Amino acid sequence: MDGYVITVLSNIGMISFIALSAYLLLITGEISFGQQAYFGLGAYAAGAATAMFAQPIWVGILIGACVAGFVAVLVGALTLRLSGLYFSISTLAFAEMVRLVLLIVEVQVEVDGEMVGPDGANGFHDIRWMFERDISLTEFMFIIYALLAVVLIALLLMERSRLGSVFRMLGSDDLLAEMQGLNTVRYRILAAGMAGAIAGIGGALYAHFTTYVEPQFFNAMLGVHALAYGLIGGLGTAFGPLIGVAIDLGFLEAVRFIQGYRMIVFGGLVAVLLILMPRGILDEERVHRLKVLFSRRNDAGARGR
Amino acid sequence: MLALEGVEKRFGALSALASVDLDVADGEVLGIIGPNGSGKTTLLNTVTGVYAPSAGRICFRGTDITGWKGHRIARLGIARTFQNIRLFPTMTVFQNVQAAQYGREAGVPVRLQRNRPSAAHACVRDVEVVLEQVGLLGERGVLAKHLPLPARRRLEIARTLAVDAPLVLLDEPAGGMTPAETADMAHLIREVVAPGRTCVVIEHKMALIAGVCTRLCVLDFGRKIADGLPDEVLADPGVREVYLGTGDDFAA
Repeated sequence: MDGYVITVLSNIGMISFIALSAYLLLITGEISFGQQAYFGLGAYAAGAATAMFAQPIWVGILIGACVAGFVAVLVGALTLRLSGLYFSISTLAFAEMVRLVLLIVEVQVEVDGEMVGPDGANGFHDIRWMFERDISLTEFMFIIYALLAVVLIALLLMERSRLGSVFRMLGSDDLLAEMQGLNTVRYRILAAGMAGAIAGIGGALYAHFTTYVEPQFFNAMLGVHALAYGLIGGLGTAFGPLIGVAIDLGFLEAVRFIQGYRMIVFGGLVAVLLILMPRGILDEERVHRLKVLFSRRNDAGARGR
Repeated sequence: MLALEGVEKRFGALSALASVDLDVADGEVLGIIGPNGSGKTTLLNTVTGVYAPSAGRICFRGTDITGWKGHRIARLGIARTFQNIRLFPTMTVFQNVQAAQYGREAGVPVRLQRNRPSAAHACVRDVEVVLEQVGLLGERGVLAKHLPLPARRRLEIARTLAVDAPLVLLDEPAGGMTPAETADMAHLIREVVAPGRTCVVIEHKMALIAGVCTRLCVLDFGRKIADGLPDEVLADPGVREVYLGTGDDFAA
């Protein structure tokens, strides 16, 4: 594989984390325009752990996920009592706050005679774990996809558990869920924390893949794309947002002849899908039909034996 | 079972419930009737914690639940249906009933959906038994949004049966139904829901009220204007006056 393909595939993998993060909130009925904040916090926290304090990358990723998840729980506790649009606006405001704070934070330590750490608007340079360990881009891509597989399997299991059902109940009818004995605020905060941690993992990987992050990357466009991936691919299964990412980054951005028109095609695609398939390609109903189809096949197979 | 003392609910200047006192005894089926806007649904919403009452006290089996959040009240043992039918439309019939039980299980529900409730939660009943009781076992795999209206109302009832709720509140269980469907619903409430439970039924259709209620209470402009045996209440001149012009309800 050439470097270009590996970069495209790695980007698809890393952006999938923030898409899954936004998806988790979408199924609970919350539209967050602020998941890029947790992606950014994960990137900075993980970068700080490995570049400034010489921790292994696993510790960095763990710290990135924990910091992002913890902040998401705090923000969730403050904002999740807001309903609908008010919640969405507050997530956007919070994410912009994070970005602006990162623009002024300058905390650097001396490592091997050089100053390393977040340097305000200049970003955070020299997150050089890959070079120090002599890890190739291909190897790093496998790390990305291994972690993505872990998160995806965890989400798919979660969806088959009662918790997954509870999250969808919140998204479908909040009042009804409450009337059935579910502490809806607590579950929303839990979902926000999980979503924050997932975005944090993506950010942690991103920081080490690019070796350099700056606050400007974690702007509202990233959050809006994260939302759109779930809405394109479908909210019926965790594979939905991955389809959305693959369509955008794997096709619209990577194929050269439409490259300049990416945002036009992407925006149009979102608009058309919202009209024709408001909950995406793989929405709940289609996923249900697929499940029925597969279980019938299995039944037939069992009888045949 | 349930005791309301001076319960009031105001929405700004509008007084939806004005000092309602109500005692629901164990095992009875209390009907609540009244014209549109008389506060019937507000009463249910206040009891189940959708709203906190503006004044007064609500006790359930000796516990003061005034101002409690809805999920705590539900867990204590009050189940309800909704006038405008609330189901999870993209879940199957089976999943809708099963989902009603999740809130009764302790802790974060990380168990897989296909696993049955743990033995520690014997209070929840077998979903298939409940679906059999309401006559929806054949539709167990159908998405709730594809059900016709009478089946939706039956599914709401199934949900209340699936959990251990000694008090069941039914908000217009026969709303929008034909006379034949209403008779079926009355039969279901009398034979399946009422035995072993205390029920409060809000309804406009006298056919249902007459068929199931052991006691009847009338609300008008948020006040209780009559309370007693159904025959006596319906013969009350004040009640007749409130219903003047809506005589169709009596004919039905």
